[in-house]
Amino acid sequence: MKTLSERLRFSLGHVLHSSRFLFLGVLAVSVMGGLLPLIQIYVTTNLINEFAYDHIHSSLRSPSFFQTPSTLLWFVLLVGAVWLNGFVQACHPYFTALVRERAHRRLHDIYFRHLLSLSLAQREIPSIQDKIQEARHGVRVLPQFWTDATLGLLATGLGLVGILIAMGRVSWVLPLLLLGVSIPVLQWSIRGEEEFQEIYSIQTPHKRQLDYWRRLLTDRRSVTEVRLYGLEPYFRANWLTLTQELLKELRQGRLKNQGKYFLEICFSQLGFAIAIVILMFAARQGRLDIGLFVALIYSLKQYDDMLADLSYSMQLAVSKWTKIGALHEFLKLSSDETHGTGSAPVGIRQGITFENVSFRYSGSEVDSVRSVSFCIRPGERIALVGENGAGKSTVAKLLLGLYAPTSGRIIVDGVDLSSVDITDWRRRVGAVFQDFMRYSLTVRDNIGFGRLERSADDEALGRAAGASRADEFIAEFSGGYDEPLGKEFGGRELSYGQWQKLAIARAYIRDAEVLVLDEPTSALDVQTEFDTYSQFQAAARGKTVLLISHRLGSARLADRVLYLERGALLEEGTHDELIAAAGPYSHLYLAQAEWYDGGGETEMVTVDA
Amino acid sequence: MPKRLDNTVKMRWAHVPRLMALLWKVGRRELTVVAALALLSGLTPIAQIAALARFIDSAVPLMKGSAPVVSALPWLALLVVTHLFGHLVLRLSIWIQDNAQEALKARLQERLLEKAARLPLASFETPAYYNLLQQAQKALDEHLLTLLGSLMEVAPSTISVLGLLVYAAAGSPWFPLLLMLGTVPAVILRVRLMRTMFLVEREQLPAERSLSYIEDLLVSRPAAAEIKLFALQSHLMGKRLQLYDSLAETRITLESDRVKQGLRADFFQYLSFGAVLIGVLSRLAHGSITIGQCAGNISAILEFQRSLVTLFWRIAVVDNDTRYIADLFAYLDLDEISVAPKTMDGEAAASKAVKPVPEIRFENVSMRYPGSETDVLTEINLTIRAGERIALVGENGAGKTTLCKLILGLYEPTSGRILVDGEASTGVSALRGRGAAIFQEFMRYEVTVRENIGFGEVTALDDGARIRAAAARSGVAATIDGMPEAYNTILGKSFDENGRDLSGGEWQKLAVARAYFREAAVLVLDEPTSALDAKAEVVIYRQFEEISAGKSVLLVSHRLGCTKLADRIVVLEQGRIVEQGTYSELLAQGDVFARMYAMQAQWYV
Repeated sequence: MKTLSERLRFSLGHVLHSSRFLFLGVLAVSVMGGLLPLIQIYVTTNLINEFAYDHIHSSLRSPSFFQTPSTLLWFVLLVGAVWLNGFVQACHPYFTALVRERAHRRLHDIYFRHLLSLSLAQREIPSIQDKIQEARHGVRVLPQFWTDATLGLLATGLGLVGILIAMGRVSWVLPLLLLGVSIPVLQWSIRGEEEFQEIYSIQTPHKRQLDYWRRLLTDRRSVTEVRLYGLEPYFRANWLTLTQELLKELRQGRLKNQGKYFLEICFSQLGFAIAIVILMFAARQGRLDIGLFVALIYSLKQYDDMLADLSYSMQLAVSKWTKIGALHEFLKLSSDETHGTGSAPVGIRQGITFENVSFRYSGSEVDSVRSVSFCIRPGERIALVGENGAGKSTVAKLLLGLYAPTSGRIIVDGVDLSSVDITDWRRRVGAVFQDFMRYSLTVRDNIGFGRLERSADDEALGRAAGASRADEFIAEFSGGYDEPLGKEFGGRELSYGQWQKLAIARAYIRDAEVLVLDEPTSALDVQTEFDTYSQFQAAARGKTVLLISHRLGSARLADRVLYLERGALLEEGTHDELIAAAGPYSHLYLAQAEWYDGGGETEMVTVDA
Repeated sequence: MPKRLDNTVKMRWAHVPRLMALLWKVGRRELTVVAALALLSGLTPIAQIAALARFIDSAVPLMKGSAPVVSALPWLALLVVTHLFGHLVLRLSIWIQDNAQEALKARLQERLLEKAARLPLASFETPAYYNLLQQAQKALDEHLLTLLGSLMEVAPSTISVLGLLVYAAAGSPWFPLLLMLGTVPAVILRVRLMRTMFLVEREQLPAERSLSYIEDLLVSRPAAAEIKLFALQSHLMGKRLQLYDSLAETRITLESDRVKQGLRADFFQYLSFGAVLIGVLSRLAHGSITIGQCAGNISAILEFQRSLVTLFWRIAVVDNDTRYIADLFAYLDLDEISVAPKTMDGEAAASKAVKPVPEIRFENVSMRYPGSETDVLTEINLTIRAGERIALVGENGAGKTTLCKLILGLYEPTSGRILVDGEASTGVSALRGRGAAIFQEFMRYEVTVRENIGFGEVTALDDGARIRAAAARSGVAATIDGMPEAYNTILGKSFDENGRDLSGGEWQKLAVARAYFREAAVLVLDEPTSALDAKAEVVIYRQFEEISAGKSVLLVSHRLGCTKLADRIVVLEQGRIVEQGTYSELLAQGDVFARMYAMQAQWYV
């Protein structure tokens, strides 16, 4: 109950905050809509009484239409009421659209802000990723929940109450009877829906399985192997069997409900029939006139329709309610990103020190980085080497201030990074990640994102592009820096190597003191790989550099090599020292190098570094 | 590139008959039942109104005291029965429709999958075609059900609108005429509105796609690191808001237009409603109709208006969804693999295939992806002798993978011939089924271990001994034996929480076992180690001798040192063979290969 009221307050609060008066206007329009059935009953009664006068009294009046002012009045009122109904039906969507737009604008803003405030480590946790997706649905349905609830629940509910009141004036039995019919009907239909939803939720994992079979058959990445081994019939049969099973379950679930629906219909129609009989006796006793009789019979039909609307709206509201809950939960999730207040040292003099740094992903049972200690002197180039999953990228992200150590300290020029405003520290570092972004935007954005305030400065862009040799292909673009890239929007598609040059330019334009290059994919061809390293060397001149690589040969570019295994630092030293030590690094290096023994006598290419 | 056919409203609606024909093909029985129910539910409002009129007429004498209550009961019974019937028909059609929609969707999905299997593999490599596939899937996932639901409602609404006109005509021939008079301008206004909305929506499309691109960036995990590092939050949020606001403004204007046009359309309808009402009431005052008929007529006009609005709404939904259905048809219309002409019957084919390892000869083979303007491979002439091991070397995009897929019989050359043991292979069929491969992006099937290996030869999936042998050869048997359910262990956690996660190297060994499991004549190793770290890479190349025994092998690698394992090295540059020879020959030659080699070797010497 507490969560219910909390969630109500939360969701209504957001709607009211963005459009208080507009929402009240929507409410008013809905109330108006809710009053209509009562007005219609009243007007219809009088109109029929006026016009049917001779039918009832068998006394001949002059049948002129506009003879009495009251007939005209009732006529205008009836048309007016019907028109008003139409007007409400037509305007309601407009006002609700306004409310929706404003509330969406506000909620999206809050949602994205909150999303961006989460730490990078949080963003990588699968359960939080699920929450992020669910909350996004919540943003979509929250305003709709309230605007639909007004018309679907408030107006319909009021309309039903209006009809009950009109009935109650004839006999107190009638509203009781009608309520007695409606409440179980509503309960049944909602319970039926809930049961059916349960089948759906039980089927969810199977549906993911279905999607998996389907993707294997249609995804670019799997289809080659699937076709090579002729697996299509196998997967299609799996898909088909499971589909048929799921459909059968759904059919059975529906079949189970049909009997209940049938009973429910008979029950409610029987109730209506009894109500009509009561009305007939009341009419015979003279407690209601012919106009009211006709109007009430008609309103019973309306009651029937509105009851169906109400139960449908309630079913919809129930499904949206859970999504709103997901949004609420998500916004309650607090960011574990800590912000110090100090400013980060400018111009690193003493160096960067890792002191017993450990890092563990929340929910994980093992440390990804285990008590690692090392120093990097200013301007030093460090190669980080180790197997997949050894924790190399995690160390890099710790250094960049993207992760905070679970324990231990990272010290820059004597200042603990945890006491520093981390965004200030991030301004001093740059990186080319392994999965660097390819923004489907302009060349300017792709480079300028490294330092937004310089993105209008073509000269700065030019320097950065020159350092990564991206200028060579940019020169061929008719749009220059404003050439749109990426196939999403019909821009120019670049090769992997070209995108990577842009990513390096993006890191370079920052003028960062510390640069990280996370290993480019090993699918690079020889030339591109060579270019990557030599360009990075050029771009990194005079900076402190952390280089992550599987190609151990490239570690020789570094002043010092750090060898990681399962999150722990095993070896540290220059390439030659480590080779001489004949430890795990040298084993790995020699294993790779043995393929190249025979190449000694061929010409050497000098590294431009 | 397949053109999207959603240019005009008219062309979109042209898809509806085709969709109906397709549905008729996949679900005749369901459609018949749905149509019959639609007819019934379209007619029930009229039956209900007629019953109401008779009942009221029978009830009027009660009030005058001129008849007993019992005399009205048969009509009451009729009234109740018609409503009961109406509800039942509605429930029944919801029930049947839900079932039918799901069944139809499943059958269309089946067609989509069958179609995917019949498309040339090269289509998947062409962005335009691949996008079309995804759009067709999206149309099926997101739009087919609403479209079907609305289409199924259009019929009863139409029947009910027409039926009510006929009913009104029984009151006076003027009534339907007046109603039509009010309806025609309303129809014109609404159709015009629909067209404007379509045009505006199309104009908005680029901005909408930009907006969703930025929103996806904000939500995407890979982008999160860069956004934090480069502090792009406020920039992207600002850009998002700008797009959002301009779109919202248009949406609100559109909505207000819709209200205005709707009210205008309503005006004509209410005008005709008022006119008919005057007619009905004066006839009542005249005494030429009864109170019951009057009530019936009024209900009929109200119901008419309501059905009309529903009808328009449904049509608007259909109109919107057909846009997406166009993608579905464009996809189903894509060219399929030409069926290889049967030059020899099965018996002969079997005897031809007796030679375990064939010689494969490429004669002037060129290959171009559909929709592309340049050749990936140009005039390739290459003979791979039986059992020969060839290393393919070249830059990214030089055509190495394409050449592999031709040898595996996965692509058909655009021009030229591929001869297998001197026989011209007439289609992909001659080579298919005789190759095995370990691709750079080898699959990690989230099924059992047994299936992961057995998928190499799916007909022998139950041959446990052979699967174990393959696992032993690839060196993964010990790992498998250590699992609680051994070969029946489910891998991956997507579908089973107790599923077992493997390391990259273990997955790789399974892929190797899968390749072993097939007794293949040709083995392709396409950068098999690029997903692996240095240690795992060394292990796999050390196994090379064993892996390649008794087969023709094609090895693609950027690790040039490994090419010395091959009998011959073929260097590709921009789709052409520029060099070939043994390892030492090419190094001595000091040309392309030697240059590349030196570039890489300098790190290690």
